[in-house]
Amino acid sequence: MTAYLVRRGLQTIPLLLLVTFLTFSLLLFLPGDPVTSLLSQGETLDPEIVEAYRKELHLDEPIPVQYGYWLRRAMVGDFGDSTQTRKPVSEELRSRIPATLQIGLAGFVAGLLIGVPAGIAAAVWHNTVIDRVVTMFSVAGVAVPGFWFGIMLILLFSVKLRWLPALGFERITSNPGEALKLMILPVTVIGWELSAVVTRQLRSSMLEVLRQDYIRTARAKGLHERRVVWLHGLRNALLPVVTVLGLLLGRILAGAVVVETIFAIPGVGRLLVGSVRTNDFPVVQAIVLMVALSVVFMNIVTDVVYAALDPRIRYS
Amino acid sequence: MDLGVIAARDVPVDSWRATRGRLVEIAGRLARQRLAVPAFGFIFLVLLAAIFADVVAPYDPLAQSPFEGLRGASWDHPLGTDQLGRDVLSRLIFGSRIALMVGVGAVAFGAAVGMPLGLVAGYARGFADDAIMRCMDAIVAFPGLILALGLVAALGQSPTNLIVAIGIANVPWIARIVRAQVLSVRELDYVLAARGVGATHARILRVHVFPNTLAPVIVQSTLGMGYAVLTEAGLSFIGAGIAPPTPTWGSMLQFGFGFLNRAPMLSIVPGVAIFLLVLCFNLLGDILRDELDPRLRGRIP
Repeated sequence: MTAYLVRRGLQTIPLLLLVTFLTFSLLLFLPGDPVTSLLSQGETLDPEIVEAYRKELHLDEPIPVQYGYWLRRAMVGDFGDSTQTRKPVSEELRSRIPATLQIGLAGFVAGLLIGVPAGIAAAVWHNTVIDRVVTMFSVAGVAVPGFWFGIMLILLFSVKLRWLPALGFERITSNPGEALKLMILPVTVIGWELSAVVTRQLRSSMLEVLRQDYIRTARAKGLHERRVVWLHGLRNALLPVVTVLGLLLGRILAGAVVVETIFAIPGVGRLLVGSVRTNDFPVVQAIVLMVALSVVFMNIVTDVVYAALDPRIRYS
Repeated sequence: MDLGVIAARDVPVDSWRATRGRLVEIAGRLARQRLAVPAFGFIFLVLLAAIFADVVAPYDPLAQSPFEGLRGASWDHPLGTDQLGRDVLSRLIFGSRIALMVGVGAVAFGAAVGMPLGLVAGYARGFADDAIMRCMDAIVAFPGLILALGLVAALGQSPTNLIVAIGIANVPWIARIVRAQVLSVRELDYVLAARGVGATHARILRVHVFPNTLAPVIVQSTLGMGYAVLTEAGLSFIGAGIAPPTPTWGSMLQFGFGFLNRAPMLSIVPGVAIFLLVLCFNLLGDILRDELDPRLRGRIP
């Protein structure tokens, strides 16, 4: 296992360099002088200030050198100041992470709670009405735009039925009752999107597993069907689902962008949208990097978990 | 003449002909699929609406009538009017232009960049393969919408920039599929024979290898189209897409959201249009994939 971990760790280094370089290179696409975009909101700046800033950011150096300096600052979480609030980007980010984490984690749990039973049911009752209904929902789940689904939920549960509040956010630690009420709709949107992926993946891997010889053996020796499905089937069928965890995290974070915008949740996603609209480039760059690094990290965790669960991966 | 030479000379023609024959065969099988006809039909309908928007749309999508704002469905306005009195049906019809243009453009960009990269990676192997595929892995680490937002922030909001920003997310998937296909084809007898008779690498790639990569790329492109439509709508919805007043389905939803209480149809209509178009692209992609993969043929999509 140690050898595998070392190998996996070494493979990650070039990937991390590429991901950071891609994020850095967004800066190179900025029209005109990057200093103007990084410092101001369109007003003319004193040429001396521009020059001083260019020196400070090493923008007068060749691109690889610029990247080196940028990376060194990024590694300690220094992305400069927001052009909007003039506060350090890291500070802005830190205040927004808890909301995204709260909604994202709850959405992840909701996605599994819907997706896992649905995937199992579809596979166990393959080619029946249940399978068709589940497949239909998972196909629709991928095609329904999350933002539209959210709006439809608000229309039904907040505008028409008046059961749930539509907008706002409360930390679960400060006011659990209100927080849960506010979380139901946004978490449903994220959970629905994730469950479509989980259901499809689990259904196909479960179908594969249920065709295996050891399942036939388990049935032949007289085990109860429930035991065959849950113990022998699910344990093996869940393995391939682990591989999509990184993909799911990507979906949660992309979903957070729209969900936080619709439900007025002060999270990282909403900060990103606001920063794109106001051309607050340092914040955009920091969030894009944070998201990509989280996905890379999640993929490593996924691989390690997979290797721990399945020895064939470790030794291949 | 040596038999191997005859085979090597004949294969290029066969390779293309086989691909074309296969596509015709697939089209025939598709027509017999229950869901393929309505899915293709709807996409075709949207395509017609986009091309002939000027003729089909009853009103100018930008024409405002301040005294006719937020009207419900009527004979004059089958889908009602928005807050500025603009006809929703006309805006929906014109909005299909952006949806399809960005969808097709993003996939075309993905294929135009991804296919050569995949071909080179799979054929050259070694360092080129490693370098290209690690770059692809790096791009995959960015969720599509986030990458598109980052690029839009840097490049600015224009249709071309949007196509590039959304299309980049397609590049790694196309490159990976093409590479896998090339790896399985490059050691086949007819490629070895072509190499044996002295065909250049460019010729082998163009005539022998490339046609074999088309089918899976078509599947991935169809699926990618749905994804691109969804991403474009998402970007427009959050105000990072094509700037108003150009009608897009995402921006129609955004404006409608503000009037959810008084005019829910403003939010329902564009959402249904996005959903149906994406669903049809996905269904068509799924059916194509099943038809192209003999192992899956006969199973429900």
